[in-house]
Amino acid sequence: MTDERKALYRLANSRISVEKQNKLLEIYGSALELFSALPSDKVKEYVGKAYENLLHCDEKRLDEELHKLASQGVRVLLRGYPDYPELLNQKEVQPPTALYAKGNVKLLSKPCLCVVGTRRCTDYGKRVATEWTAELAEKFVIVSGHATGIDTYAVKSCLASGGSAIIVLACGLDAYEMPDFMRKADPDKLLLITEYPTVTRTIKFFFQERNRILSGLSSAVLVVESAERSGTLITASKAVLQNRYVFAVPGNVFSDRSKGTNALIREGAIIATSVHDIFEDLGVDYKKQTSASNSIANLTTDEMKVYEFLCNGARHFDEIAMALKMSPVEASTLLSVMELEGIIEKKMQNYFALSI
Amino acid sequence: MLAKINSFGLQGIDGYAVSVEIDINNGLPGMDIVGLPDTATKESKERVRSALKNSGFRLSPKRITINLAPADTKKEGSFYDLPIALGILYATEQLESDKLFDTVFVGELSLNGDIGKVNGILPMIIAAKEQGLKRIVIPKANENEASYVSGITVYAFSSLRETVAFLSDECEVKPIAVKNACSAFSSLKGKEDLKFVKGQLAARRALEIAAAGGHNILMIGPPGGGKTMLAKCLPGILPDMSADEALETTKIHSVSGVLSSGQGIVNTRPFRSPHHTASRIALTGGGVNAKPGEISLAHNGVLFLDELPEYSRTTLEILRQPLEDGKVVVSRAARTVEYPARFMLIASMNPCPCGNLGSQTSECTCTPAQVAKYLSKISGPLLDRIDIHIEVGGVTYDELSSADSAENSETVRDRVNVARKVQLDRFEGSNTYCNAQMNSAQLSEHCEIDSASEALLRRAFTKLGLSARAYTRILKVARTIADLDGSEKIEKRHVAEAVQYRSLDRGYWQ
Repeated sequence: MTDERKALYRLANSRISVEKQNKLLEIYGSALELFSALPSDKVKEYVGKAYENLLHCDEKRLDEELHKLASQGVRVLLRGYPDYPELLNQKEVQPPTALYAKGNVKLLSKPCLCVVGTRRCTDYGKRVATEWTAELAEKFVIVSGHATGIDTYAVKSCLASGGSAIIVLACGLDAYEMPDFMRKADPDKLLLITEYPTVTRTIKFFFQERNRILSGLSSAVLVVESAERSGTLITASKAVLQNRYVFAVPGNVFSDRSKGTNALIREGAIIATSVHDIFEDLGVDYKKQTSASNSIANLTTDEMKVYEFLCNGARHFDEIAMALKMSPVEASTLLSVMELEGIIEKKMQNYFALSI
Repeated sequence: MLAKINSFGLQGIDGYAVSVEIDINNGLPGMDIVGLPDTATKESKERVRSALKNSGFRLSPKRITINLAPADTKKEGSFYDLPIALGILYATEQLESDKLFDTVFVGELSLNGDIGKVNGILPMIIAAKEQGLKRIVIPKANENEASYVSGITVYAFSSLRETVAFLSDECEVKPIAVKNACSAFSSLKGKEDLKFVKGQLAARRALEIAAAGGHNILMIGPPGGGKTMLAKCLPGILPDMSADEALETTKIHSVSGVLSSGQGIVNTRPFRSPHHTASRIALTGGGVNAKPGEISLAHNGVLFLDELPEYSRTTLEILRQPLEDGKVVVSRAARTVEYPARFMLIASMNPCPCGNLGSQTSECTCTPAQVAKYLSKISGPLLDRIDIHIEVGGVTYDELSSADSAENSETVRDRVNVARKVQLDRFEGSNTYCNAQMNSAQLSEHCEIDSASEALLRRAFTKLGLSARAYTRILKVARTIADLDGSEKIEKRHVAEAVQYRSLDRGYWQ
């Protein structure tokens, strides 16, 4: 075998842990060197059972596999080559030897920012994820693990506002089913990436492993909302180990789902109270185009009263009706009209809030 | 000697004539009942034997054959004790009476000769009246329910001895006085009153609309939000029962034996709340004796299903047809009966297993998958039949402790009555009684909306992610809102309000 690329690919598929792969590459300098040094008792002792995989290799099958991947539009990014994301190729990250990518790989060379958060998010988290990501996406490619909750809202908002997103999977590319909103998005603005070979099904452990790539790809991680113990915090701690910026959005101290973010701030994460904080700290020049919301310009007197009443957060139907001294009939008609005009939004349990 | 006495049996909720024939022959002493009697009917001979003896009559040692005609219909229950006893007395020449053959007798005998209460007296009396019979003798304990039928003379006796005395003209007995069904209305007594419901302005309004238009309603909210309390207030704001409705409902209650002897007629709309462990049979009716189920007992009233997702799915699915047709057909090997079941469904549920989803004050601990599973227990077709979905939020302490009381049920009911009157006039001559029952032809005739409302509705669909089935529901509800408003046309504001009552159709629930 003479091709370094094939050698790397073979190493990546040898079922040796990423940590040991990296160590071997460090010792031998390159994958070719490693294979030419075989058989070696030292290597055998170090890698254990998987040593057999290193020794025996069907080169023809290897070729076939690579060919098949190429025909499916899957790019294999190998460590040390120029298309391999630069930020990821750091010792602290434990970079995988091979990455499988589908989509626009050019996104990897742009500045990336990772938005993470709990799956069971509150309205507050949803709003932050939606509003902020839309603005962040103007300057950054948004990296996400695309779980439900915050992750999904972030990706949705990013794509909706015309930004680009990199989704890091915890399974093989074939085992992943793209949700509708992604399928409809511009394929040039999306990249799926994973360290697992195509048909790998996910197991719980993969998610934790995957999180190091989330932060590894990004120059900063924004933690929107997180419980006390969660995968979100694992990503944050990996980001710290990798010397990335960690931003945390402060939350209600009584809310379970703000405990994680508040704890991060206590431990030294950067507090993010607005998108501008993030841009400023990252040294990005950004000015929001102030779009004076003309929707409130032509409100009626009653509608204005409701608008002002809701400025401080969601209120229950009863509270609104009582504060405005309206009958339930008038109130529900008015709220309905305002909702349809897109000024307010109905929340669950009969709460109303200004729309995002 | 042969005796032939008139009596009645029950089929479904209607009575049918049974003639009890008694013949006495020579032969081995004994008593035989033929004509497909069930066990209770067969055991009649033991009760009759003792009742006759203990009332001072004698039973000659002869062979007695009793036939319950028509012989090919199954006879159930203990209605025939009294006619059998009287027939035997006549056949053994211990009773001589010209009244015996143009009178209907129904009643169970106890061993000492007392006449006991039986179920289903009201439908039998009505059937007897319709068949042109003049007189009926019933147990004293059933006197109350019998007193609302005019056109037939009803006598109520408490013992066999009394009956014989009456038949042989030994004493003068007055028939029971006919009461007017309408005079019996005891409006709100014992009902929950809306004035004790604090806050919940949106839910109160939704309840009023539901009552006015006969719309089925689903309340969604956290535990302790007052859903059950609101549901219990519903019968109190429903429009008054008409005399026909009262008799119809009483018939069903009489047949299933839930009528207490003190209560003659069901004069307030029934409120039935079967527990969620209730079986399918318990809801629709059926069983060996094909008894009416909960949905028939709720006829002309309210069926309240608390914690809707806790009911088994099959139980809920069988509600679909009755909700559509207003009746349920129970088919069993022996017979097929039809029970009326025109009820208003009011259901309640939590938004998720823990109940706190969407709450602004407490946190939900359910996973999205759990919530989805919980909500999926209620099928689309069932939801399709529920016009109003309303979210009932938690009441704040301030609201609970506020001194000023809210509107009471009486006031709300007055408005509901007015709106119902409008509907009755509108649908006069058709089979429809309220807006909820409109068919598609009536919908297009009475629910025309102007272009402004049309535009608003279209916006609601795109903006709120309403599903297609919401369209007719919103129109029907808007029609009721307009009726409450006293407006002939459906205005934009009515449609706007109606849009609020489609919570479950909104995107965030799916």
